[in-house]
Amino acid sequence: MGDSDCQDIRELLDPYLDNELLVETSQSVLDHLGLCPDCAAESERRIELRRLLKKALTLEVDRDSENISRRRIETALEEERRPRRRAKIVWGALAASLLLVLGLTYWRIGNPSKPVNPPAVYMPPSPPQVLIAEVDRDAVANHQICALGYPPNWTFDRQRVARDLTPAFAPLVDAIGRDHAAYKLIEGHICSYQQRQYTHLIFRGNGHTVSVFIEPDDLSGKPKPSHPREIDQTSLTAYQVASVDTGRHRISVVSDLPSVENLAIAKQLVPATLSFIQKLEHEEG
Amino acid sequence: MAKDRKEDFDRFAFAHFRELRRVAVRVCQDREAADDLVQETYLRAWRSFDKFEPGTNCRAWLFRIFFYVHSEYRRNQARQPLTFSLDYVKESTLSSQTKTPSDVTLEEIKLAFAELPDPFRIALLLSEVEGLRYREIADALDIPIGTVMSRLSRGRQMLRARLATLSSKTGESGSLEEHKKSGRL
Repeated sequence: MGDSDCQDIRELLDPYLDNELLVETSQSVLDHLGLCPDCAAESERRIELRRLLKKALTLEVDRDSENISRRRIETALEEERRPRRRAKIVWGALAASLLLVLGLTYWRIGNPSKPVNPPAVYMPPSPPQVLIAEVDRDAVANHQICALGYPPNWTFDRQRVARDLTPAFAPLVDAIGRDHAAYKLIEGHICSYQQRQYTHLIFRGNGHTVSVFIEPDDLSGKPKPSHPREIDQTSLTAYQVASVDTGRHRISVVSDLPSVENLAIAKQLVPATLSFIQKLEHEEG
Repeated sequence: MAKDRKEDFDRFAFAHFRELRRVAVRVCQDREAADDLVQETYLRAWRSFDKFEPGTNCRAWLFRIFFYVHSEYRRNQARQPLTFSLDYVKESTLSSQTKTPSDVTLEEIKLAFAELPDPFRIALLLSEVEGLRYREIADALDIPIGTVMSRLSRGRQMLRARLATLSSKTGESGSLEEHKKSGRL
């Protein structure tokens, strides 16, 4: 039994135990387990850990607190379902106020001797300031959570990626290209982390994983660059984040490569991504 | 009409109350906070119940709302978007093949599980304890199915690695069977 066979089977072992593999793949895992005592033992260990985990995490049900919680929710729902009268009163009050304001305005305009006060200018509340460091940290965290966990044998599948990227971003794959020196595109999708939504491309090569993220820009406190050409790079623990901001989108390239190498791959990946995004922004108006 | 809507909601949504609350308690690790979030989940579910299509997966829909509410809660609570240390897992450790230790207690498993970063802990909880399918987890967490697989895979790796560390720290030996007999499992 070759080591690579065993490695492949162990990658599939958890989905196999979760009954999430295709019938043919599942059969090949089963066949291998019948022939390989090491993998069979590994399978047993994983089954045992699952059993223990489930046992450890199964809560002792406290029916009383459960009932209290449910009653509380039902009461809140009853309140929620009974807002009509209150809403009518509120709308009635608002309508009356509006009529009063209109009446007063009309009366004042009709009496020019009295100065007309300028209408109050509505000042929208300032959107929360999002620190750039926070955005970079979220990008690194999403790189760790999402990109680094893809199995080593995960390969690019055009149909899957086109579906997961949604029609708006599916053409990005051809725009950016699938091969960049040693780095090959293995995955593309839309994912979210901490309420940020990312368009996420994952490249692999030389034992490293590189993420390209595109996210709507919410850096309200940051001046918008009119000509985004410069790539900024910051370091966060073992990770580098190279980024460009169009004012409406932020593109970042994240990896654990040395600073110079991350910047080099970013310089390969960012221009095509930037052109794609700017075209998209132009089309959206 | 309103009565039908209420009855439908109670029938569809409250069928999953227990599991939702159980997950909430595990995710929040605080019963009061969990109850608040479950209540908010039900209120939002009610407000958007018109958009729910009978016949689709109500459980995944509720979980999805819950995790959105939870995410808001975390964000508002601490204004601390990072849920774990960036040093927690180095890339080089990801492919390590650690063995499941045979001499771990349920308390050690709870401890190791509680220390997992949120995204991995939640994926494992939904899969291992609640028995959600990968597709349901993807819907509940609003992530691609590949990411579900990756979170589960890495979550299990981290759990095994953490248990191996705990096990080597305790320095105890003995087979699984011996510990079962001695009541350690």
